[in-house]
Amino acid sequence: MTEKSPSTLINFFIFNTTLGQEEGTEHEKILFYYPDADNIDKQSRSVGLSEAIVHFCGTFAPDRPCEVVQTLKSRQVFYQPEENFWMIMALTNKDGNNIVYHQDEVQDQALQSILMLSYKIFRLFNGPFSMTFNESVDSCRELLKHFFTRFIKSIKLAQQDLQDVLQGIRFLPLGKQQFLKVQQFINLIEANFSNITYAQLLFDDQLIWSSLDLDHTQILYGYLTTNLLPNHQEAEVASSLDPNMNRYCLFEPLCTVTNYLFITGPTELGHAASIGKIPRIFINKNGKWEIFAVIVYKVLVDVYIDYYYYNLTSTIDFFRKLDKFIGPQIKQLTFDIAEQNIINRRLSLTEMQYRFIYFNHMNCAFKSSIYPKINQPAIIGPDLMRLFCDIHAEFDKSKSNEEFLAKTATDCWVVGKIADQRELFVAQNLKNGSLLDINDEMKKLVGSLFGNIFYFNS
Amino acid sequence: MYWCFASKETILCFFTLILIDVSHPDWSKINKHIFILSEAGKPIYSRYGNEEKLVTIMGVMQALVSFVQDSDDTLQSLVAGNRKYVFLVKGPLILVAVSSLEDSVPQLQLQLTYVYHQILSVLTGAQLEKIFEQLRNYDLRKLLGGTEKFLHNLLDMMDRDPSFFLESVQCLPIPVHYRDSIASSLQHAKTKSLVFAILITENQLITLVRPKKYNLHPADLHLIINLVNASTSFQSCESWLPICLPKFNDSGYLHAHISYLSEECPACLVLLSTDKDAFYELAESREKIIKRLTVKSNCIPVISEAITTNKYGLDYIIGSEIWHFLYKSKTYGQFVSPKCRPPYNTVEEQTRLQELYKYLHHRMHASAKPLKLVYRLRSQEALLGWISETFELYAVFNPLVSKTVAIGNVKRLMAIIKQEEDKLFIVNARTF
Amino acid sequence: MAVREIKLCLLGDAGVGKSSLVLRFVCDTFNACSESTIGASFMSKTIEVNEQSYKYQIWDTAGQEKYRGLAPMYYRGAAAAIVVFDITREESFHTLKDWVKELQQLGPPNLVMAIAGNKSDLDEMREVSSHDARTFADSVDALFAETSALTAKNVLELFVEIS
Repeated sequence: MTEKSPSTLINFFIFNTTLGQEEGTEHEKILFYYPDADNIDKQSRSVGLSEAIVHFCGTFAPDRPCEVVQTLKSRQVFYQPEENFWMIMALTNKDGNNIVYHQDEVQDQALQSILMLSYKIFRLFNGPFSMTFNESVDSCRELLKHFFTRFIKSIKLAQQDLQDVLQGIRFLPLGKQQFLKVQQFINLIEANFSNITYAQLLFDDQLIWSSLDLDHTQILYGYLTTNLLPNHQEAEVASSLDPNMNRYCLFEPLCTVTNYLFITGPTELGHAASIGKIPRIFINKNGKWEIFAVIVYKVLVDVYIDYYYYNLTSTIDFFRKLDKFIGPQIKQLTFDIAEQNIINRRLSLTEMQYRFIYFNHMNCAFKSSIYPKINQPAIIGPDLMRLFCDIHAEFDKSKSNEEFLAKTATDCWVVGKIADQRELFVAQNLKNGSLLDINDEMKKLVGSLFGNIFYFNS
Repeated sequence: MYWCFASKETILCFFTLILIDVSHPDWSKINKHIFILSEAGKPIYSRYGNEEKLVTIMGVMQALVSFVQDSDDTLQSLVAGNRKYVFLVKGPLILVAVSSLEDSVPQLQLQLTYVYHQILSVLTGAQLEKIFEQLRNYDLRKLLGGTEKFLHNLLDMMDRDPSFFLESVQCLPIPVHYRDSIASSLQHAKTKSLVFAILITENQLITLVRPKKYNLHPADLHLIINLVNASTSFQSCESWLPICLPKFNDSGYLHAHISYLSEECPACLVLLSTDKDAFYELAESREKIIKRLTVKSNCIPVISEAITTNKYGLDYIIGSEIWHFLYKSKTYGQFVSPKCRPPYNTVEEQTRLQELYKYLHHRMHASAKPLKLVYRLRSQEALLGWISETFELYAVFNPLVSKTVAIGNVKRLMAIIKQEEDKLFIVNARTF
Repeated sequence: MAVREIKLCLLGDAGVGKSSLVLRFVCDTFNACSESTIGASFMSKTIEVNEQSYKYQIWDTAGQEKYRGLAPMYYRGAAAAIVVFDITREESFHTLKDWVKELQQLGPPNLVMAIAGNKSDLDEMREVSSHDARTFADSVDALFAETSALTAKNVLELFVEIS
């Protein structure tokens, strides 16, 4: 196989179709454009072509917006997050090869997920586009520039895969007793502190509890585990090594290593001035967007509780009170959770024999043996990952109970199954195995790991 | 309202889109549109709707294509939900397919290439280029007059016949000694200017005799089959017409003598020559062939029976478990498939069956190295695809059947095919 | 008695009914939904006229413009040519005049020419009067008949007269 140069980003832009409708003002449609080195003419041309394509597709099927445009030298993905707003990203094709489908190229849905995720995170911190847009178009442009310029730097094109499409949540399953204890604890906090509305409890990168709905949980979990917490951890390490290290992250809390700690909030409970910047997020409560502040409280090295509260002014008193209340209560709970985690770790050794991804649409539960750590690339060949993504896209369309088993040219078996909104993808090498052999293997796997959820057809 | 980008001077202007035919309520329900326009945007053909009324939408297509060309790039495809839009520029023509069926982008590109070849078969590549060189705004419909039915028929065939995406030909199953008799009759009728002698039925090849140094590409053979199929006017007489076979020679015509073996026999004899005055010579060849077939071997009734009943085909394999299959022999470049039976005996179901095959074929060939085996269980059927160095097999099963039973059926099928090989395929290619 | 062979071709605009005339003559049938001819069709028919057998070898050509260039192949060496027009379309009468001119210039000498005004059954939509047509036919020394492949009027008679 010939070596190919990686795809690179050509442009990324956002425009609104209600602006710049008169001749000569088309460039006004543009709300954000990268790279800004492109002159205004070139920008207008890109936006013009995209809008024309959107209209063209609309004449055949008004309800199905354009998603992907493929040319000889590039690929563009389209996303319409809100009415009249369009986000578009273009990449080069490797080598300008004439092959439309390439086994190791990033799949279309995986690329679209970049747009969707970036929008969701933007919306988390700034509310929907229309909110700022309706107040002032210029401030909307400012906000978009501020956010997306930094976001674009973090895009890792080659690494986009099924995990990004699914946006799953790794759960830490607890025993019934412990789970009830956690629930009690959280309820107690919410009862005692009236302005704390929601809470989430995480252990390392696994979610234990969330009082938010699924959509918000999903996006917050994603943001916390891929951005805030890793950056904090890196900062912890880095600050002891090199305080001048330059890193991208949305919020830069300074910290020292202690057992209990406000990651967002005061770094030292004694000093009001150390409160620092508390992130604000937008949560859609019953159709209305409200602003909440996020306090991330770290217990031990790996346990984090996040509180979302409504009151925008926070005093050091409040934090002290919170710390005092939680401190003692959390200790026992934390040990229980940590113990459970160790038990779970042992169980997962059996899982490690297989390379799989499991996802449950109903609660976004995600389980996999091919990602050593969240945010790290999968340890599976790109051609196999591509096949996983393609099969997932097919399952997405049909939504009934289906199966897919294939033997690749390299004699590796790839299996996909969807049943009752749960999906499982497995890659397995089986020397000289036949269809019936792999079928038996699957039955074994499913029996041992997902016994009470799945069954595999004969 | 939207943008229009006319030229290299980057003049951006507006025009309001007045949608006439496109606003018809049934427009979105059509599952495959095909459009042909010239590089200048002039309408040439539309599968549905009157191309006169589609001037504006074709103008948009031309604008999109040329806008991308201005950036030194080529527009290939758009995907919107379950609809694919594929653009192909060939010579002075722009061909566009808009499909909500399961055809993949590469399959649609192949279909558009066939459409282009169909046009070439009437005009030749050289003539097409010349016309537009001289007059950029030429209305090609003048020269294509009377041949739209070949485009219509080709498009219908591509939806219902797997020979196109398999890039292969289906043979009429007939015992090998009959086929040999027919082939030798054709061989004996060789005259100076006869290049190819072909005997075909509705969509199958019975036999073919060719010169030693030339091969007839399946794509060319498909055009000939389409030609014969699309017109009823060949039945009661002998016809003589020029045809360009793009894979053989895209800048010149061959001349075809077309006739049926007899009033009762649905087999069509096509004799091809490079000489446009060779009609009487070929008419004589035809007489010789028919005489040999009638007198020496009495093949004609056998041929008729084989065509109408598919007596030697593998129809009997289909049952409650295996519902249909396609077997392509890579060694012979031919494929075999049974006649359609319930549940695939209506036009809608046959189109859907082809969609299943196209899906399976694409899924297996999508990567640079094809998948060796695929088993796909869906709600209405189970599909099995198997590719080796010598064959490709695509089979459709009852979804309730277990994998063990499916594999058992496949093994039985392969054994039967091996056994009946000489009936199902043309194993000895005959040359002049 | 020896059979006399008559090589004959039909020329004329697309859609005037050349193939229908041939079909009526050879098979005595009419197809209301017939398709346009591709290239050219060849048929033969033998009839007896006055105790003499005549075998007609008939070339039915396609009327479309793109096949115009192939026509010489069919009238070269022909004994007779029937040029057909549609009485309900004046345009086809003009094309007919072009054909006649071509035959006079490039056709074989001694070519028997016949002019057929077809679709005579559609009298209510007539655009060309039989008087004008007959006058023209006389001026070029051609046989003339108004025919209808549908009703079979004058079809056999025309072919017979050519012999």
